[in-house]
Parts: sequence; structure tokens; C-alpha cells
Amino acid sequence: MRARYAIPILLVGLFGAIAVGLYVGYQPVSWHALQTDPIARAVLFRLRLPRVIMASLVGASLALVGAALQAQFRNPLAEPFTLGVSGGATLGASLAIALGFGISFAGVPIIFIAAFAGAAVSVVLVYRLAHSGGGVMLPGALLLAGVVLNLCASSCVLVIQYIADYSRALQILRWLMGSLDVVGFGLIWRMLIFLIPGWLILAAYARDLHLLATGEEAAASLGVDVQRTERIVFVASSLIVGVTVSVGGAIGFVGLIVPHAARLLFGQDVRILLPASFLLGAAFLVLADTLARVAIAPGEMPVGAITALLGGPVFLLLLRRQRRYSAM
Amino acid sequence: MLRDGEVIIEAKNLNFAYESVVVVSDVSLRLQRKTVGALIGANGSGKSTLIRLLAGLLQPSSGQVFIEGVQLNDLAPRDRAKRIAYVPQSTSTVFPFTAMEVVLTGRSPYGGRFGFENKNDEEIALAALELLDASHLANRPITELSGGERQLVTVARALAQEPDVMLLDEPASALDLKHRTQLARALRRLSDERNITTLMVTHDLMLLDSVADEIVAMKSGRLIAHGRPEQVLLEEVLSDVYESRVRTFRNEERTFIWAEF
Repeated sequence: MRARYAIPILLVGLFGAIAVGLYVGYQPVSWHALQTDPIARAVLFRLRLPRVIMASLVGASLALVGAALQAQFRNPLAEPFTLGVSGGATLGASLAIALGFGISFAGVPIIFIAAFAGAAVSVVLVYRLAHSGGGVMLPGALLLAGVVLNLCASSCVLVIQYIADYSRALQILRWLMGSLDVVGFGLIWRMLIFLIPGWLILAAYARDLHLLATGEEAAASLGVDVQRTERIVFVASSLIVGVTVSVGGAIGFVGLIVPHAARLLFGQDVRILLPASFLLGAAFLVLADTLARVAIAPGEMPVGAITALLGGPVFLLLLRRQRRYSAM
Repeated sequence: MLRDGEVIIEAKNLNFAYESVVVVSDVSLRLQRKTVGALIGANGSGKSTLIRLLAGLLQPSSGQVFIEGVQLNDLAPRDRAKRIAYVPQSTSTVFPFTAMEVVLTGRSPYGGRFGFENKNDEEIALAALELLDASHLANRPITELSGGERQLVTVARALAQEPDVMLLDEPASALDLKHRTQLARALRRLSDERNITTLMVTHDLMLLDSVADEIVAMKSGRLIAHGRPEQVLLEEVLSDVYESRVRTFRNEERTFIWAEF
């Protein structure tokens, strides 16, 4: 059974990716310099290591949420980006910056909370819109609702930028581009306070999500409290997406391609898919970010551009396949 | 008129309405252990809704369902799933789970929140597929199976639940003659050998004398007949149920049924 080896293989892969991410950069790390040169040490431990860890946290989170939402909505095209959840989080965070809340409260950035609220509102809206046909959720309706929501959210962000004063508008713009660039571990610890509970909740619902992926009625008849599961998964997903979007900006398609790659490698079982997507997503974003750092060095590409370049074609491919599914 | 025995599932004065449309109206029903029951009625008569109410998937607007005297709402959903299995009319999943994976989900009420099915679960799942002559489907993706094959897999999942009561919503509608008979035989055997009670929605009236112990007939949300096949498969009853001129002919314990053209 391939699935049994999924986690060990992926752990090795993740450590490999992290090693590559640490080694590759504008200034390659040399073993000798690390022992003698404090600047080389600072580059590695204060700049490159936090950035690689940030990339793995964001990648793991987005892929995990993508895998969970795909199972929950029984839609292979669902992910934070296509469902408009990222858009909602972006709107929430922009609003917070425009109103001057770009600061921390008790060590917790207000932007986290605002983005979480935005994500939560949009996930509920998408769900309501797609469900308003007498309980039946059409895959097309779901994505359409997500697209419309994303459009609305980004228009609102534009309006906010236009109204906000110059320095805050610039701040929003810088933030929208997103960046995994961090100095030190302070922000990472603060993110983990939110991310770890979110991850654990989704892990605890892996079995119910597995049953939901085989069909809503089937899951209900097998003892899954469908409504409760949906609500809890929504809250956990919004929390995770809110925090990752607050830090890294809206990085698209990680939540889409990674779960599908995990499916191809390890099969359909959601209980394996969730941890596998988590590890694969971390490795994927570390490598994508490494590519972003070195592709046009000494300049830097936005990592979202790289994931979108890879994810766009995968999305189109899946869309072609879905036509076959929906004919059933 | 009905066999005496231990009542396993009972509905008392069930009512259900979608918005303001009344779908099930004051239905009371008892089924004994080991009974194979058939639920018949015209399209839109409320059969599927009744099955879902009995399965605990819908909440009645009034009335109760009891399983061995215990009210369904007092059971935790996973405990309910150990006692009642439900086979929906159609299943659609977009993900290519293998048939075996789908059947194995029937074991989930017995497992923990974390962890996977064990060897024993796999044997039960395989036995369920074998009973329906569908073990060759085990490793095929469910998305590539025909409608009939998918129905067999769904029934196998219900069997893997090892329930006391199986509620099936038109399980044979997409099956060919061979598999239809096979499914009927399997349900009969399950009731005889494993004391399972079955209630299935069906339009396959001609198979009922061989399979069913009891037939329940619905019209416009109400029960209008409940009895042994020879008490229900009568011209006047069926003509009322289907609101058309139905003819029957009995020969050697079999009833032949057709509607006048």
C-alpha cells in the first residue's frame, strides 16, 4: 500500500526542500563561512531560515485547507483562492490597514483578526449562495459564487485604496503583493498560535471529511453530523487562511495543485490526503519561493506569480476532467 | 394479519412537510425483526421521504421513530449508524475512490476518530461485495462504474455496516434482471441468516411475492395498505395506489401485474 509510506516519504522530501531553500540564494552558503563569519551565520539563521520556515507554514496551511475544502464541497476545484476565501481575507485585512489598525494588540496583529473575519464571511456567503437550490450544491454554482465574491472583494479593496490616504494606500499595495520575507522568528511564533489549533481541528475531522467526500447523504447515514462538521471546518479553514493571507498575501493555487498531486501519488483517502497535502504543500512552497528568490536575482519575483504560473494550467486541466464527472 | 415477533423499527404518527407542501402525513408503521418489507407507491407519493425519516436523515415535523423501543433522536448518530443503514437512490462522488474504499466507509461507525480500518473490517467489506457478486469491482474507481455497479457498491457499504435495519431507496432501479434477482436473493438471505430487517422502495412489483414478507403502499403521503403480498398485490389496491387500471393474474404462487394500456 503506497499510502503507508506517504508520510515518511514526504517528510524526507520536505527536509530536502528545506535544505535546498537554505542553501540556494543570492549568496550560496559555505560551510567554512558559517564557522568563521558571523554575517554568514546571520544571513542563514536570521534571514534565510525564518523565510524557509515561513514558506513551509504558508504552503502547508494552504494545501491542507485546499484538501479539506475539496472533500467538504466534493469539488476538485475548491480551494481558498477559487472559493473567494482568500479574497475575503484580503478585503478584511485591507480594511484594517486603511482604518489604521495595522498594528498589534496584545502581541497579536489586528490584521490577523480582520483577515480571519473576512475569510469567515466569504466562506459562509459562498456556501449560502451555492446551497440555495433546495439543499443541492452544484459544482458550477459553487465556483461561480467564489469568482463573484473574489471580484467583489477586489473591487472593494480598490475603492478602499482610492479613499485611503496616500501612505496607507501604499501600505495596502505592498501588503497585497504578499511576501514571505521575515526577519527573525517573532512573527512566526505569533502565526503558530493561530495555525496550530486550526491544523489540529482539521486533522480531528479527517475521518468525517473522508466520509463527506464520498457523498453528503452517505456521510450523514454513517453518523457524521454534517452541519456541525461543515461549520467547524469553515471556522478552522477561515482561521488558517486569514492568518496565512495576512502574512503572505493571496498566494493562489497552492491549495489546488498540491492536494491533486497528493491524490495522484497516494490515492483518494482523505485521512491520508490531509497530512500528505500538508507536507507536500510545505515542500512545494519552499521550492517555489526559492525559485522566486533566484529566478531574476538580485531582484525577486512574487512567489504568488510562480504558484499561479504552475497552478493555472493544472486548474484548466482539471476543469476539462470535471466535465466528464458532472455528466454523471 | 402480520407475523408476530419482536418489533425492531416503529414509526408513530410521522408528519413531514417541505416548506408548506405536506409530503408524509400521519404515517404509523411497525416492522418486525427479520422482515423483508417493500414500500410501493406512485412517483411523488412520499416513499423516499418516509425512508429518510426512518433513517433519521430528516427530522419529522411531528411524530417519532423508534428502533427497538429507543427513540431515534436519543441515539448518537454513530450509534444509529450501527443499527440502521441507508442506501440512497443515487450516489455521485467526483473523486475516484475505489469500490473497496467506499464499502469500507461502512465500517466507520465502528472505528475511532483517528485510525484506519483493520484486517477484520476489510474481510467484512469483501464479504459484502461477494454476497452481491461484486467482488470483481473492489479495486475499480467508483467514477468509472456503471449506474448499476455503483448501486451494488452502495448496497455493499450498507451491508458492511452490519445493521439491524436496512432502508433502501430503489436499490434495483439501475440493475439488470440478473443483478436485480441477485440483490433480492441477497436481501432475503440477510433477513433469514442474519436477522436483518429490510424496507426497500421499489417499482419492481413482480419480484415481490418471492422476496417480500410485507408490502407497504403509499399514496399522497399516507399509508393506504400494509400486509402480506397476497393481501396487497390485488387489482383494486394497486389500481388505487397507481391511479390507473392495474390487472393481476396469479399462477403458482406468483402474481403477474400489468397496467392496461
